[in-house]
Amino acid sequence: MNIKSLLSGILACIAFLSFGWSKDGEVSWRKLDESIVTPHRPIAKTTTGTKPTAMIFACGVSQREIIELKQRFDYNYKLWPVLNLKNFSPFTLAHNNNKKIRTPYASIMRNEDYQIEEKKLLEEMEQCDLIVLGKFSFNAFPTHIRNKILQLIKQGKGLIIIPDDGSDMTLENVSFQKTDIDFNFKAIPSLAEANIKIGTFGKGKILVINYPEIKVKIGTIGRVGAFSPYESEDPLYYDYIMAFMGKCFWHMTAPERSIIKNVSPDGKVELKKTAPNNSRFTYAVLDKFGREIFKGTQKAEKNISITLPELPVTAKLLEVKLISSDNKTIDYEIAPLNIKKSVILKNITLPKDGWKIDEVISGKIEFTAPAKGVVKLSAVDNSGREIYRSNYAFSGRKSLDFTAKILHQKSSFANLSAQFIQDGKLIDEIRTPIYFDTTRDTSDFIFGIWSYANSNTRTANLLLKQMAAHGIDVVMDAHALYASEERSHFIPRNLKRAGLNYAAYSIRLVGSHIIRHRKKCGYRYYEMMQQNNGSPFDKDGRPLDREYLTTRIARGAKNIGVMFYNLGDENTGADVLEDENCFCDDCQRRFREYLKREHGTIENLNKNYGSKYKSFNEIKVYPFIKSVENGKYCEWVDYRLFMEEEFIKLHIFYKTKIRSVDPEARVGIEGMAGTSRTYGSFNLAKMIPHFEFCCPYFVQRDAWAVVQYMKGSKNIPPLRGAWFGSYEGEMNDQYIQQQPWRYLFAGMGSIFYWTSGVPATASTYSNACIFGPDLKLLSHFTKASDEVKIIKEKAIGKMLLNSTPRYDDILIHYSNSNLHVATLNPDKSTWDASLADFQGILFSLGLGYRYIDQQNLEKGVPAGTKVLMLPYSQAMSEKEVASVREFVKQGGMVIADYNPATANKYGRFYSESALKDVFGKFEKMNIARYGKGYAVYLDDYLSGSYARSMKGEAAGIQKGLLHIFKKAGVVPSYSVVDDKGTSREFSVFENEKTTSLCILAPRTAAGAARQSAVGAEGAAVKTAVDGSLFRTVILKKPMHVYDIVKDKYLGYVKSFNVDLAPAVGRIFVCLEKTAMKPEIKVDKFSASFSKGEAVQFKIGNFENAAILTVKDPSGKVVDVQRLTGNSARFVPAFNEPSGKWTAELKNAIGGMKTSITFNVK
Amino acid sequence: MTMKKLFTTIICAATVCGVTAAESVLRNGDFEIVEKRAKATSKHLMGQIKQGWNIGNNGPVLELPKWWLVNNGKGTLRIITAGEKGENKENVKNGKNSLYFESRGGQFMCTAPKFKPGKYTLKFSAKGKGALSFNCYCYGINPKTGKVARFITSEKIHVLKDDTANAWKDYTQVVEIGKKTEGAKECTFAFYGTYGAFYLDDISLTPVK
Repeated sequence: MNIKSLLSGILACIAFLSFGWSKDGEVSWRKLDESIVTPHRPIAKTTTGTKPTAMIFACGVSQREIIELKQRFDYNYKLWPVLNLKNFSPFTLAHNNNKKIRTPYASIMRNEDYQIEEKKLLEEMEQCDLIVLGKFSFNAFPTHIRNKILQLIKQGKGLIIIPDDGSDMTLENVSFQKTDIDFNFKAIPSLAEANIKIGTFGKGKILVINYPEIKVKIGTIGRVGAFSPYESEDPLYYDYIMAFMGKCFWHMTAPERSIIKNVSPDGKVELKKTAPNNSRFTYAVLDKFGREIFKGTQKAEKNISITLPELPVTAKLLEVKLISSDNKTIDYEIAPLNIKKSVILKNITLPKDGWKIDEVISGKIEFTAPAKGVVKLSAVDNSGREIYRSNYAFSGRKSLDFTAKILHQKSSFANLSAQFIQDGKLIDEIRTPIYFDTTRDTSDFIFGIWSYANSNTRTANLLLKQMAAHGIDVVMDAHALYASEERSHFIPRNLKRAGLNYAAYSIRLVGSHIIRHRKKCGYRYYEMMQQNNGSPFDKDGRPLDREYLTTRIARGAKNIGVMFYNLGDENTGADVLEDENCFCDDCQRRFREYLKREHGTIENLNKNYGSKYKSFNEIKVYPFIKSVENGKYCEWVDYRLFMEEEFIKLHIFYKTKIRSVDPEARVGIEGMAGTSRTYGSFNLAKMIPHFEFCCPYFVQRDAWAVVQYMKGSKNIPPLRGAWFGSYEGEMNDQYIQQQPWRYLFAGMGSIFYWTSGVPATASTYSNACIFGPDLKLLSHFTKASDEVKIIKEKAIGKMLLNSTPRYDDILIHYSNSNLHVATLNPDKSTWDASLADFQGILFSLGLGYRYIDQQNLEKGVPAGTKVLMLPYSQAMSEKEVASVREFVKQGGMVIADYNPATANKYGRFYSESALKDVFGKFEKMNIARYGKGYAVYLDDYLSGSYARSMKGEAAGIQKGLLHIFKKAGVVPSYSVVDDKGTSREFSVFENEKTTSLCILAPRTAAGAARQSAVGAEGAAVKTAVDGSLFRTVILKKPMHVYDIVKDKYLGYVKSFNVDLAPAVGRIFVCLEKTAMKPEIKVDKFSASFSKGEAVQFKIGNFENAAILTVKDPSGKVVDVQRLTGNSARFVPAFNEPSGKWTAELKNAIGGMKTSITFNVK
Repeated sequence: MTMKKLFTTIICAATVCGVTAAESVLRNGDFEIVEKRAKATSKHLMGQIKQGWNIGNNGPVLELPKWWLVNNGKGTLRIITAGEKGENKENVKNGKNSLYFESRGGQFMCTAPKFKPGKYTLKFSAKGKGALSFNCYCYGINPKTGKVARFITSEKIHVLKDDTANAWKDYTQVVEIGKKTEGAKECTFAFYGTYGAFYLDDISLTPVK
């Protein structure tokens, strides 16, 4: 072999894996798409005169404010994105005394491209009237760009600087003076304290807008908004913050155009000069909720007086615009309104702000003095539906108790509004948010994301709404843990307001760092709790150890609902073997106590170990290398098993803490690191049953453990999922879009994307995020969200979660003793490699299996089992061996790859396998009879079969294995073969009436080749299908087959052909009889309902899942529900039309529909 | 001697040493730093072992010189420590350790650090019989990342074909690394064997001024 080509290949591979991670995915550099129109008030959408052109420097989703401003104010822009608030670009970090040049994760350009872009931008800057630094320090510019800017100012261009942190701005040779803008910005609460100053430099001017530093701690990641002050979200004033910014632009580029001299709260308007010919004033009064409650037009004169009607207390702003004869805005101004009334509303008092589904809400409305009138109480939810309305008449009372029974209909949040009305006129209105706990239901596929919701600014909140609109159900916020208690309570509510559920993130609870950095044992807490009668708190209610931050979050979030509490991101016993822990004196002592429990007596231990200890006190354990060098194999294996228990107990300790605050908390872990490593301390068979939530990095081995071992409870149904996203280093379409299907077909009920990106900084130099600077979600995210949409809308998720993975009476031995003993004796295989091959080959044959762990195998092989597989099961207890022997004796088949039962479960190696009598000879493919059964020794027959089967290159192995299985009576009921007749992977889900065959097409090589580049061609995609996606599905007997994705009936067939699309899932439901026509009835004789009353439906006659669509009298779809039970409910909202409504029930299989009508009064 | 003179002398001495005593770009070329690790914890090493590498011994723990890695092919590799496991001083040239390398198409590479292309003095001591090829691997800029990561090609810099079974022999050769490879920015070092076995010690690659 040519050494050069051989080594070239290897090293190229290493180089690629180490450094060349794919730079694919959509690139959003400098691309601002204005197609997303957000709610706004167009203040000066078209204006007279010349539009200013600004070069704007901003970062992250703050760049969106460029468009927010443009929606309200007429200007042109050019965008120059910066890395973050303090640094100009990843290529200029050294400029800021940061010597280390750091390229962002998933960087979108190289330095050479950046230099070209920079040159282009410098040229563009010359074409602008104005340069605007949207929360970026002038001092952070690289010198050459700063000098260029100064040169342009000197020549006459304007510069607006909005410092990020409220710091003062000084510049050599520039004297700044305090200045006013021709706009009443003091009327805007968040601008009232703004400090504005101006300086002259050559022919140009520099305007500095200093917002006072905010009091609430939001961290760097919460600092969102290029123009607006941080935390300035407001339904009324946000529009006028943008109006202020527009005025600043005019102030710098065309100060002479200012014509409105003054607008006073009593309606008097004065111009600086005569009004232009045929111009007019338009005016409007806006209330604090941003509603326009009065408006009018008047011919423009130098002085006019607007007659305002009697206004409610909620009226806050008078907006006046001078409009030209050709309907363009000449100038605008605002005046604050301060309406006084003798009695106004004081507040709405509720015992809590979070409510369970259908829980009756009771509270009190208070007035500033005894009053008479009517209170109109209503609630409008996050979809704009008025879900409650009731009037309360009262007289001479200072407060009013109320009880509101709101029948829940999907709302995540609502504004509970009390309007105080006297003589038919609105006097005052106050609102308070109410949140609904929608976290209990996990019966449909759930889409989650790692994100941040700690910023109360318009653009950050719009981003959350974008996520909700693209099918995200739940956000694991990664900042609440570090925020103040108050802010940690704000975050879940902020998400609810966007229609999203909240999940609590936690940093790694345990790992090497605890020992390495904290220099103390991480495992002592459970013992503390045991000594404290099982409570994590002392007698005074204080935590036994330091305050667990997640309990702080729980206190504020439990009422509104927490999807799950994560006990730690990437928890692990240790990262690497060198960090194996813990060997402290306490752990050694607890280990000896464990040994007493495990072995009973020292004699038993000596028998199990083959040792000669005189007492347990003699036993001390050491890390792996030292243990091995001293021949202490059993001590080390037992210690690993003990540490797995400690690891589990530690999680239980923290779970107990959370449960002490939120008794119905769904608790679990995610992103577990090192689950197949001997020092990782994960024993999923023992650990997972303690959780209701688990989201590993996807590997079939762990995914199946989560599916099999996590049961949850009736009140806390489990949430099973896995991560995907840009961390995987691939963001091409096919890679991204296959994952939702892959996880669903593995039995998972959810999928979680890492990461949305940090709103404050993402989407500039890195595309490890989901959004562009314009809020448009990037295709490397939407490719996945589109697939999730299909999974949800076609009720595929609902159907599969209402089914169970098929079980073909095959068990796989799943024991951590084998993991550890494989570390001692690894030469044949590793635990995870053998498991992957066993699982992979079964998956490729469509055969369903379950794990059997050590404890259960010791009790005997369950009746009905036909095949027991032993993947590198070197370590087996005597009881396990006895169970296997008995199983085979009675007619079962045992299949092993290497060295079955060559050691006991503590790692004491036997002179020969304890199952030698069963297997006979340990020769490749030796099939031995034992009793009525068979013992099959594969040796390396399956080695590498997982990878080969995924490529369709395991036909021989598959045939051989099927031949063996046949002897045990295992014959696949279904098979899927490609155009070469080779079995291909699929999974089968069954419920009482349906069998679902789920096929995920592989990616094509061409599809994986997508690359992006900076510039206009950035999003160019090249995908191709190479024609290897043909499949024939063969059933055991003819059945009625329905293609759910394509909405097609394939007939009563025994086999059918299908052309798959690459990297997306297809699901074929097989029925004994044709799919039924569903039935739906209204559970009320009159079929007439009031708004707010529940329309109860009785549904049935469908095999698995059905889709209910409710339409209003105009035919507009108001609600869609995916159902599996025999009842459904719809509650018409108070702001929806009366008349004849339609409810249509569609069988998710076959698509037969039944419609009924009901009347809404 | 005045203090000023003393300091000046020290600084001059340090400068001269710095100039003249150029360091090898290869780390641990004398194999004195040895790492023990569990075989099962490295997928890469398990792959090599399954492919036919015999590293150290048959137990669960293997020993490798720090910053060196086996890659591809098969062979036998052992750290020889004078005075341990029946080894005598004759199989160690200098220091405590040497390396026994018996390759059947496998290579042993120095994983860190990468070094710039240029003129170097390759020195090593060997005892044994067979053929060894010393190579460097050249990397250029990855256009996607702008970082030096793109493997371009390998260059053979020295071939050892010898039979010195009974005596250590020192080898010295000035080599040009990366000169023929257009776009090469950084290089790594490895050796590769097709037949025979050698004891190796004190491998160094020192820049030539």
